[in-house]
Amino acid sequence: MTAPLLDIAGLSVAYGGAPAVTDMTLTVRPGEIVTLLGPNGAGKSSLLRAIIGLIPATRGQITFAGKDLLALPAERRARRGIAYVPEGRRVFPGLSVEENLAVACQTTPSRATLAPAFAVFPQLSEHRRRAAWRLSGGQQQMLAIGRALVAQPRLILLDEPSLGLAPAIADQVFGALVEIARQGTAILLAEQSAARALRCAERGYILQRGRILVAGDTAALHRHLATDSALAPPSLPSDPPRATP
Amino acid sequence: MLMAQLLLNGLALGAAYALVALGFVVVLNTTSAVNFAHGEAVMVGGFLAVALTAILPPALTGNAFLLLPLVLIAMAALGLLLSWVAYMPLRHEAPTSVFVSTIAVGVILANGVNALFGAAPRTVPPLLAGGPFTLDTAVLGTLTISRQSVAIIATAILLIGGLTLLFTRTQLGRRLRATAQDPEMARAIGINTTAMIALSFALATALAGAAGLLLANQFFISPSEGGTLMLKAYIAVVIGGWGSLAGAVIGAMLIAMFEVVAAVWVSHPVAEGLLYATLFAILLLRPRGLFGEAAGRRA
Repeated sequence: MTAPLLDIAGLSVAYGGAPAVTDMTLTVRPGEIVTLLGPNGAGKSSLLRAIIGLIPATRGQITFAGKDLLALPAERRARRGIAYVPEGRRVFPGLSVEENLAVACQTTPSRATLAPAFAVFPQLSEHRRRAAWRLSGGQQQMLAIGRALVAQPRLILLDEPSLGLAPAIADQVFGALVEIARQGTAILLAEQSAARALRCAERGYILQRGRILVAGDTAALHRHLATDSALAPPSLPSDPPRATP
Repeated sequence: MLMAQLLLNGLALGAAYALVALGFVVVLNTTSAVNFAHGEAVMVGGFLAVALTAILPPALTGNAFLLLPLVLIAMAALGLLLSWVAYMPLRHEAPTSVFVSTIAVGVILANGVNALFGAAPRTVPPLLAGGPFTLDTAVLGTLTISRQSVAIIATAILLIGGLTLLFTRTQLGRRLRATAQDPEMARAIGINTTAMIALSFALATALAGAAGLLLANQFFISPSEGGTLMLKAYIAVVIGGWGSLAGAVIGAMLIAMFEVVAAVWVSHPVAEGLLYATLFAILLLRPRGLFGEAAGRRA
């Protein structure tokens, strides 16, 4: 089995003094999509923010590509190959589409360095000069993921990409995620919409009150969700799990 | 023709004020903090030019344009120092801490300059003098064009143009703007926001220094002037729209027009009263300022 790209051991995170993540252990291997499921307040976003370094860990370890991350500030973690797409997209509103992509390049921006974003989301190329705040929610989500792609990351931390999107647009975004992973980039995907997440992920974790409740492949997660009425989304029974390669 | 004359003079004063206001906005955008020492930085720039004129050989100092690069570099260094002393240690504290620390730095600068140079207003050489520049003014019909006014406008255009190119055409400028719009997200995409903040203080203070140099020839400069200049920058930014670079320039021009054009039609005190009445009206009709809507989208 491939060595984990991201290896988290016994991680705890506090938010405003209250524990948000407690003693979490998980791994992500190169090129796989791993999903984090759970209701609001389960600790998904806090975990992603702790991995990128926007909130400090109170204990535990985060190892990325064999190197300890905890001592590094967020900007250096990003430069090591981790990209973060937060909930609510948070594109730079006053920058154009092209500028939003260019500013995330770790090398000198050029047509070639921006190409991965336009290849995955061709719609963005029609709005190159448009200010990001003028884009629709779906376009902003594509831009946020595109911004992550141009940094040529080895791991993308993706927080609630379907939130606020029309179903067709959300499907398009999730289709792009599968394509991105196929090209070798690992994705750690936090989602409330279990149905969509389980269609594209290979395995995952169900979180509850900051702890891992269940870890396993998508079939195991499906089985657990089907029996837990508090976590199961209404659409779940009709969504078969994606076959693990 | 009197109107054209006044407009030219107002444009020159407004160009210098625009540099002051732009520097103020650059720091405001990257830190969300008001740098109350900014007016004193303008004054220090003027006195730095006075000091350089006294120290350097006359061949270099008779023409203040040659002093400009030295003033820009020295003031950028002062800006870095200002960020490390008055902002960085307090950046995670309540905003009032930065207000107070920059006010303290401003008072130290004003008193330091007063101790070194005295309280009397001082002047520096004109921007362009000697050599082929044999006339201080050119007469066009009944319009008298002051070479210093034209030089001030040209220098401000050069600096504002350079700043615009930096912000819109370079990766450094994009990083500065990204830091200004969402500092946390900027860190998450690999930008060293501490360096960007320090750089914005350097840029802002260099612009303030240039403004001091430009103002000191025609309008004199004194150690106690920082507060007045700071207030003008603040008003320009409120008129133009909090955080808007273009708005800061427009706001600065409006202030200068009131001080030069309206002051001739009425009187200086009445013109100043009218300026504040206009400010009040803009705040009532457009609470975000003239260009505030676009700037508001940044958040």
